[in-house]
Amino acid sequence: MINRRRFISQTATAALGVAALPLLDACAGGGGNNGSDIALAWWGGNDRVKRTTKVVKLYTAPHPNVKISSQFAAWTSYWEKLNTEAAGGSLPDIVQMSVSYISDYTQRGQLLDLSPHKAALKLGDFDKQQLAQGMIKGKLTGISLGANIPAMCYNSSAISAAGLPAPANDVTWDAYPTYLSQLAKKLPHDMYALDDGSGFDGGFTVWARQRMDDIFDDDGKIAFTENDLKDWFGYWDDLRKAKLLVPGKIEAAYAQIGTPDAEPLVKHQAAITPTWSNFVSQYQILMKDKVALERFPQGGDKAGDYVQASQMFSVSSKTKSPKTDVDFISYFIHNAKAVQVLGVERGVPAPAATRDAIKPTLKPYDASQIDFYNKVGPLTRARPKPLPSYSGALFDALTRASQAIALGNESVSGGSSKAFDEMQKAASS
Amino acid sequence: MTRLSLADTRILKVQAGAGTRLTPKAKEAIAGYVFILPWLLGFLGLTLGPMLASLWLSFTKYNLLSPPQWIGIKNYLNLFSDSRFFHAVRITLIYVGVSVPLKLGFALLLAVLLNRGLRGLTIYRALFYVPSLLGSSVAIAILWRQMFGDSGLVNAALKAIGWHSPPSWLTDPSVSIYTLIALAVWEFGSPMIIFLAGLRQIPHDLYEAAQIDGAGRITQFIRVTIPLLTPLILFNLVLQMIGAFQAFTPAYIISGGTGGPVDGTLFYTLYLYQQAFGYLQMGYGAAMAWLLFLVVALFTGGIFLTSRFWVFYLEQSS
Repeated sequence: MINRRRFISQTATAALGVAALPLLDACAGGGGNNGSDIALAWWGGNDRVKRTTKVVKLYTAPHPNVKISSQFAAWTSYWEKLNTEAAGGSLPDIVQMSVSYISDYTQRGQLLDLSPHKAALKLGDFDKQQLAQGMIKGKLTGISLGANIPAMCYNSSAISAAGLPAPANDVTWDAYPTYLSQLAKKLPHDMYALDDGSGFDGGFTVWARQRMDDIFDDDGKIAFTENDLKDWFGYWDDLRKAKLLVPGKIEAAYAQIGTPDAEPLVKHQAAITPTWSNFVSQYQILMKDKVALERFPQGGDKAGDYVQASQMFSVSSKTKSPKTDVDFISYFIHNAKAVQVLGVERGVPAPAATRDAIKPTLKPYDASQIDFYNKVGPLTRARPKPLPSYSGALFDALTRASQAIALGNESVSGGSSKAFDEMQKAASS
Repeated sequence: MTRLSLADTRILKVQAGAGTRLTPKAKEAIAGYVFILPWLLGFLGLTLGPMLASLWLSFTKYNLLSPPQWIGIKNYLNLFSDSRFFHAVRITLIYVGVSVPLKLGFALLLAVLLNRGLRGLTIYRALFYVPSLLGSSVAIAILWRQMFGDSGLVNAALKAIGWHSPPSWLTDPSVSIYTLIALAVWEFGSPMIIFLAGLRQIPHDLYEAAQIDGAGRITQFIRVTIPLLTPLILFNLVLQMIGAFQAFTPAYIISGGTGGPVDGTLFYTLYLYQQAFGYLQMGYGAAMAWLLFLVVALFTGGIFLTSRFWVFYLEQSS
């Protein structure tokens, strides 16, 4: 499911959700003056649990005074729990934060402004775009743990077997169908040129940002119109009618299963798929053919591509141990051993030195994320504003409309107007 | 035990207050309350309390993060301009309206067949009951998801017998709801057992009398069996209807929580869950929950009101 892609990009893992099992908190007595008990919370799957737990152990080994108790859960239950804890004024000291919620949390005074701790966090070579996404109204409340870029992931083996060049990095939306139809003619008959990206939030955002400042305005209201939606769905529908796009029935079958191994790209039903850049690793693990990344087609008068911090660490405003919290975060993003354990599982790290240090230690597909980041990063246009909290509901409406149009249940204009109506409701509720 | 007059009880209370021994009746009452205390506490603390809290929340805007904000009946008004809400109502009514009669019909049919003194009756009874034990579980929903998937067992079998493009049971929005209905009907075990027990209760002399009057099997079924089963039909109808209105697990598991494809399986409860826990619209979710409560109460009340026209109790005739 395409909205699962967004979900998984936030969890950045294919692993199924992990039950909310807090690790046993083996703390003995309260922390004295020179010791701290830190509660650490994050969402994510098994791979993340393993990596993060390992880093916690690495950190606490030389710090016997610090006890870190972890709690982790899958995305939905994580937010249920965190919101309840926030309501009760008992937020864990360090929480993994998303671009969708950081604004709400900061404005309700739940998060500590980390600006006074900049020196300890060593933000000198920290990616500017990722840094900006943790900055809410002048307060630095989130430290990015990694970022992704919306991208076209393509099967380069299949495309070169078809005798075509890889998609160009400056191809326009207008020229793209020509390339796709040349490709479609040479591909095996059961392989479509492109996977349906009309329900992909990152893709829509890139496309819309090429024609406007952003899809949300300064007040967090919707900045695009129903006509923009019509244009967007219309573009994809034309590709569908020209048989360049994976048809709705196959999309629906994939959406019903929802795991990466059922994706049209992995099942050789599509040569190119719009997705988040971190997905290249999962695809490569599942496929014999070589896969690679290219940015989205271009158009409009602005650059639409953007870097999105997939998750951050934030510190509770009620923490009793801000110095230790900051020290742990700094360790998490800089320490040579720690960053090697973490790899690119949470996205491409923000500090340039970290990226350079881990690249040689990574598997080739993970390293390709960093290469893509280094190549496309400079071509992106910054997106410093946080997402409004209704953005999840908005993108779900996009996905539903995409599916309804692809299956022929709605026309382009009918589906767009219904989706826009639902989006406005979400924004006003 | 003789009845005490009001004056007597007053005297007794005074006596009890003065430290004298309690009457046996008061002791009995105290023992009774002590025995139901765990249930009573549970009811007050875990059911009634949260229900009242949710009633209050239904008049607020509440996202867990900031304190609830009183907005009056706005949540209820917003429901009526929410197209997904109406869609969810429609899907749920189809589910209730189709699955409940089918399930009861099926249960009755099998109960009648089993009541004819089959050999190995207990084994069949147990076998037919198994789906009801498993049916509402997560595991069975996952099993159905695999079986009815586009390349699942069911379509493989249909293709093997020559149906080249069988329906997409789960990914076609107009078909998927019926796949869920089939899953519900398959769980006919518990109404079947109740019908079977009811069939056993019907006095044989009634059938004999009917035979003497020249009634065939079908006439006997319509004139004797059905009327005498109506109290059980009422019971099963009400229970199954309430259960169907509240169904959640199959749609949640089979659609992966989305109610898809294209909201084809968006049960009312699933939409409620999405609003409350997916988008943190707790007030909106609470309003939906109370509306569902009222609608189920209305339907149940309606069935009870009509019941005196069609439910027949044997005692009445004697």
